[in-house]
Amino acid sequence: MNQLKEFSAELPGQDLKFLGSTPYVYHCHHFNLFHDQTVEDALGEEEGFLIRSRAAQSAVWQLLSDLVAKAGASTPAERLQLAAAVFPWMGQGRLELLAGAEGGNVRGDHLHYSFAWREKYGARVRRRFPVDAFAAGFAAAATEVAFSLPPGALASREQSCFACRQPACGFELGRQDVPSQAEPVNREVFLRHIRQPSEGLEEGRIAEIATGLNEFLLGVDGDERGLVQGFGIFITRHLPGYYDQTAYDTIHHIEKHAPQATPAVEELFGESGHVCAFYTIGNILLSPEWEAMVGTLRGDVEEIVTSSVAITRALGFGHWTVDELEPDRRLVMRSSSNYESPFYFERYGLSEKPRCYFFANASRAIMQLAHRVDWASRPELTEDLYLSLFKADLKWRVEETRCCSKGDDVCEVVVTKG
Amino acid sequence: MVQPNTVTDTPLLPPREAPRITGLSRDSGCARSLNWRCDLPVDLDPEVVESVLVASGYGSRSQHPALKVFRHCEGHELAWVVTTGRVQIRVNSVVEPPAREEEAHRIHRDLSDLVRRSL
Amino acid sequence: MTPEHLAKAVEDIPSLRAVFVTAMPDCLLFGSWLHAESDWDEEQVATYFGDLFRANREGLKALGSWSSEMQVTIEAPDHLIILHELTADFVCACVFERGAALGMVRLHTRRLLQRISDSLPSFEAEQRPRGVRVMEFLNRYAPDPHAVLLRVSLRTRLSMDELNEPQKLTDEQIALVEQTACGILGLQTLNI
Repeated sequence: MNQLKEFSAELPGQDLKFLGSTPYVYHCHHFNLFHDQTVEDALGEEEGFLIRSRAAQSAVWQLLSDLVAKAGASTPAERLQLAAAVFPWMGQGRLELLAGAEGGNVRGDHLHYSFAWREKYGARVRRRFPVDAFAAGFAAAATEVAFSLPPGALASREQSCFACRQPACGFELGRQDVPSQAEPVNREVFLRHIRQPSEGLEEGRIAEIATGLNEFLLGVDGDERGLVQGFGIFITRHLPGYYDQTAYDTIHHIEKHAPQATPAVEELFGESGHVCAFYTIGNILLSPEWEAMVGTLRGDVEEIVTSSVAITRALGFGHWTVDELEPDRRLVMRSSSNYESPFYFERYGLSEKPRCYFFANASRAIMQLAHRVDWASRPELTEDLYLSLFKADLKWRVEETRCCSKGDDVCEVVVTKG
Repeated sequence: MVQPNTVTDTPLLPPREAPRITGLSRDSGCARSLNWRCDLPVDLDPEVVESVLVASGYGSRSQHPALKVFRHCEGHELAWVVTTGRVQIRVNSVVEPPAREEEAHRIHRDLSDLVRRSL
Repeated sequence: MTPEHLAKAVEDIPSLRAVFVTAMPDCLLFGSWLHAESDWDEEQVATYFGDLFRANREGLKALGSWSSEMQVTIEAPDHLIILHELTADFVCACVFERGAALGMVRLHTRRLLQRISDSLPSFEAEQRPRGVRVMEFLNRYAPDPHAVLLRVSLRTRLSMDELNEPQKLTDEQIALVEQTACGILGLQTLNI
């Protein structure tokens, strides 16, 4: 674990985090489940699982290949040990990797996705299809890297899943030899695509808080189940490569084959920005960690907006700045770096429209949280409150007015009262 | 056990008031009934409290001077803001949601006893 | 059914604490009467009792022992609750004080149900288009209700404009929406 901390680094001034050369961010289970659910809604259960597990396999293969080289892990056993340590460091649970170069079985315990799915939806919905596509892809990639196989050499299927009320999660790996051609979107790529960091309003306060939160987050370890709890919430250290590839491949598929459903898929990926702001940022603001490190919330609009931006930086979402803020009227946010547009530009080229769905909608949600939540009363962030804020009473419109993925010099979102 | 009519050569002191821990209430969190709140007096000695908690199965997980996070070997956590006295009790998430409130009350009772002992 | 109708129907019935009339199969509150000291959430209670009654009916049907005359009696610590199917479209829940004698409760319930039945419409539930009922069902039971319309749009490829007017959906579109509802809710079939 300490070795992984040594491999963890920041890009100074850009608020991006890397494990080795691979970018990572913090997201909670609400965001992760909603993101995966949207992929599944768009593509169906089978195809959705396949797209997700392949994206995971591709991103994890890059991550682990880089890490085994840096750690000097040369034997399959050493490499599997390293992979088995990375998985809980990410807060994904525990994997028992028992496969060889020709495949085999993998067992999962307390896997983030199925464990969280049971927690959040299990009492209301009977799940019939497995959810652990990320773990499936991770298991395949870990085995490929351990036995020096190219990416895409193995296929992984989840045969039993805790979310489907089975006692544990089990995967079967087998040879498929479908080569994966995707180039890594790593630190070098980010360096090519990000812009010079700028300063926004309250820069001193935001940077100071972000630094404190960063130090705290580095010290947060997983528990014996391989889950990571920080600020009273379950968080994962996750790969933007996974989020980006699954989101953009899904959106492109819909744009091409069912254009009438494009607004729905874009809005749903945007909705995951609301989910993140409410559950992750909101709970961090209300956490004892925040109270100890920053102080008790007053709850005014400026405080909540700037605090939220500090949190987004500490979570590795990039260098977001508050460029204009008029309470009750308007917010302009910019990012010289984030985890969406560099990936888009690198993988798909110049876009005709803005592509930072998360950045835009998280900004809108921050404005809603700043105006509609009585923070000083320390509310419980329940599903009912979420519904009242984001279903019944969302008065803010958001537009991404500039986006690096369509060639602009910065990503910029404008949130106005609508 | 206190024996009646026992003669001691130390004068009797007025009973020292036990540190008061507030009642339990729900606290914000990302899952149902997982996080609970109570408050400790702000004049407790963190080192003494820590040693009592460690002796009863808690491990310390935080180096921050204003925040102490303790994880019990049974899986639950306490996050204590030393400066304000706020404590967040984090029930182990493997406990099924309907049983979490009862579990939080049990942890709270145990914590009350431990804090009393830390005097 | 007006509140005045219900207030008149419950006159002279001792130990009665509340009456909830639930429109089926959607489990929506149709009418209610509460004792002055009660502060229950009528919509929530009506929905839960509607659900309970439907589950009970389906269970009995599975056992081959269902009858339209059946009645569910619940002996809760503080209350005695009787659920009865008034018509195919309405279920009534009568909540009495726990101390009331069961025989008297049954007698009063029979009278009360007769009075309520006389003032019930016989057409309202049946007239509502199936597309509307499917969407209402989803809105009530699907997880993430804020996003359910978008999810249905994405799964069915029907536009939001079409889904916002469920009464205009074609039979083929309704079948698609129903299939999607089953997928979202993890059900084999949608019994509404």
